[in-house]
This record gives sequence, C-alpha cells and structure tokens, in this order.
Amino acid sequence: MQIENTKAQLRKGVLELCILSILAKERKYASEIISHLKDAKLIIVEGTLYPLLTRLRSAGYLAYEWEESKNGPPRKYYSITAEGKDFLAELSGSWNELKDAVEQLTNPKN
Amino acid sequence: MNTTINVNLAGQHYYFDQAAKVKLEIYFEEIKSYFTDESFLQELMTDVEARIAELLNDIRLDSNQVITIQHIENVIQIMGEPNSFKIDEEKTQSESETKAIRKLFRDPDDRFLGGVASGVSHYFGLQVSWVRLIWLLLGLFSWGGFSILYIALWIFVPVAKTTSEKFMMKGEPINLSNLEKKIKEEFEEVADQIKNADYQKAKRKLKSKTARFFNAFAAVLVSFANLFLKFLGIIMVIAASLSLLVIFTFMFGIGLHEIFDIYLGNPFWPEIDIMHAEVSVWQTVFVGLIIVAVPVIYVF
Repeated sequence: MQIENTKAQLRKGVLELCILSILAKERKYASEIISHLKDAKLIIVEGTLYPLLTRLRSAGYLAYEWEESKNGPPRKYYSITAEGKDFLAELSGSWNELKDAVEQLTNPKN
Repeated sequence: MNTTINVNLAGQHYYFDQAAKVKLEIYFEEIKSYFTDESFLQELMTDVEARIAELLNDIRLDSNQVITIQHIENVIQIMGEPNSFKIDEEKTQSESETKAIRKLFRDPDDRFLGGVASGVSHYFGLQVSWVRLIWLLLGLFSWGGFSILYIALWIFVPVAKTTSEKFMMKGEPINLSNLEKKIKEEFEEVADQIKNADYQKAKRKLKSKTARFFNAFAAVLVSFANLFLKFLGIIMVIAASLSLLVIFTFMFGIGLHEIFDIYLGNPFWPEIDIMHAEVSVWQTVFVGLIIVAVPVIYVF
C-alpha cells in the first residue's frame, strides 16, 4: 500500500464537498475552482476535478452556462442548484460528524 | 522540413507537430478508457479540451507558435496522468475490462477501395480475402447490383479513426493494457517513419548526380503515367456516358418505332428479337459502366 495513494483517496473523498462549498457563494469557471483547490493544496493535478464536475452536473447538483472570453476558448461557468445546496448541507453534516469522530479517535483527551 | 498539423481545441486553432498531436491523442484516448457513459464522456472531454486550450494559450508565445511534444508534456504535468481522472478505482477498472463492443466500421489500415470488406470481415470475424472474394462473386452474379450496396456501405459506414473505434471495430475490449499495446504500435509506426525519413535523407546524399538524373527521369515518367491514367479515366468516363446516351436514345427510338409499329402497322421496322439484343447490350454497358466507373472514381 502506497502512502501517496491513501492520501489521494482521503482527499478525493472530501473533494465534492469542497467543490460545492466553493460554488455556494458564487458561480465560477473551471480554472477558478482549480486555483481555489490548488491554494488549499487539495488537488495536485487538475485531472481529478473534471470527472467530479461532470458527475455533480449530471446528478443535477450543478448547472453551467457558456460565456465568451476575449482571449481564449469560451468559459463554462458552473453554479450550484437548489438540489446541490441540499446535498451540500447533507454532506457538511456528515463531514462534521466524521471530523468529530476522527478527532475523538486520534486525539483522545482522557 | 517538419510537417505541422492544424488542430482545433475547443474552437481554437493550433499548429501541432506530428509527435505532439500523437501524444495528445493518446492522452485523450487513455482518459476516455476510464469511462463508459458516452454522454458523460462527451461533457468531460469538452471541459478537458477547453482547459488544455487555455493552458496552451498561456504556454505559447504567440498564436503562430508550433506546439511541440514538450508543450504537451507540460500540459500533462498540470492536468495529471490519465489515471488521475479515475473516480472509483475498482468499479471503472472492472467495467473497462469487460467492455467489448463490436461495431461496424471501415478499416483505414487495410483497404482495397474503401475498407468496407476489411470492416465487414472484422465485424463477422472472417478472413478479409474471403470477404473480398464473396463481394467480387456477388458483384459479378448480380450484374453489378452489389456494387451499389458496396458504394452505399462506403458512404454510410464511418471509418474507424480513433484507437477506441479501432478496438470496437475488432470487438476487442477497450482496457488499459490493450490501449498501451496499440499506442506503442502507433508510436513505433511514427518513429519508423521518422527513421525512414532520415535514412532516405542519408541515401539521397550518397547518390551521385547521374543517379539523381535518373531519379528525376523516373519521377517525370511516373508523373506522365499518372497524367496518362487520369487522361484515360476522363476518356473512359466520357466514352461511357456518351455510349449510355447513345443507347438511351437508341432504345427510346426503338420504343417509338414499336409504338409506330402497333399504331401504323409499318412492316419495315425491326422484329422483336432485335429489341431483346439491344436490351442485353444496354445491361452489359450499364454493368460495364459501374465496373469501369468505380475504379476511375477511385483513381481521382
């Protein structure tokens, strides 16, 4: 078992939650989402993001619209849907539970 | 001298050199191999293409700069190896291993005319020479009727362009080890071409002036032969259409004569058995036209 692989798996698990949180405030196009995730050191390569975006979109949690760009290809702006917001609330709930559980197990206070 | 290829990514134009194009194609094919859902894949690849176009715009100095393999490697470093696109490790792996779809494609790598016969042979798992023989026999016995079916297949059956399509054509499962094998073959082909080019360059340098003269002479001969073939083709087409016209007119004339025969009772017009002879000439010429026309069209 490779440590890098396990780390990547851990990150992948929370990526969808993070993508939805980034989009909860305002609509963004793929490269902006990427730079947020890169700043937070959540992804190392961009390839990880695209299938997740497509999956969230086909599940109805995200919507997108195309916009022309002056220098470069047209940009695809992603925004969160009402269903996506419900899903995000649910994911955040279970993330908090998980965080507490992991905290409790890895740092026992007594 | 290097060949550059026009590549369109997300509506943007790029000049790629050959190796860069192959590298990017392989990258796309490998990503595609992880997914089975067609509409999902299409959406995903649109995003990936747009992003790669954006990255290439950042990397290149101006819009005329040729994209080389180095640029593509930089892009892949940012995007990640194809396996970073995987979502669910086990699921996609097992799915891609069992995926073996067989579709009818024309084979561009093994073709006599349009690659229809080789495509059909892949589809039914037959030897291509048998399929060609059957086509030929059917074509002869149906008086050219099957040539029309052949042409229809040629028009409507798509040619297998991508690696995945070639796998589908042969009914082989699309998985990573298969893809790798195929990609290596394609790479070696390109490398061989490059090697050949070098070899030919070296060979040319060694050749004396006399040899060069003979080469030029041969080239002139070849181009004359080509010209002659085309000329011959044009003459054949003209001759065939003219004879068709003549025969149509002739038949029309005979038909009229027959009508006259019935209504006016003219005893001088030819008898029915000559009519029969004309009809069979018409058939022969029609079949002949198809047999002549198909290769002639191919020559052009």
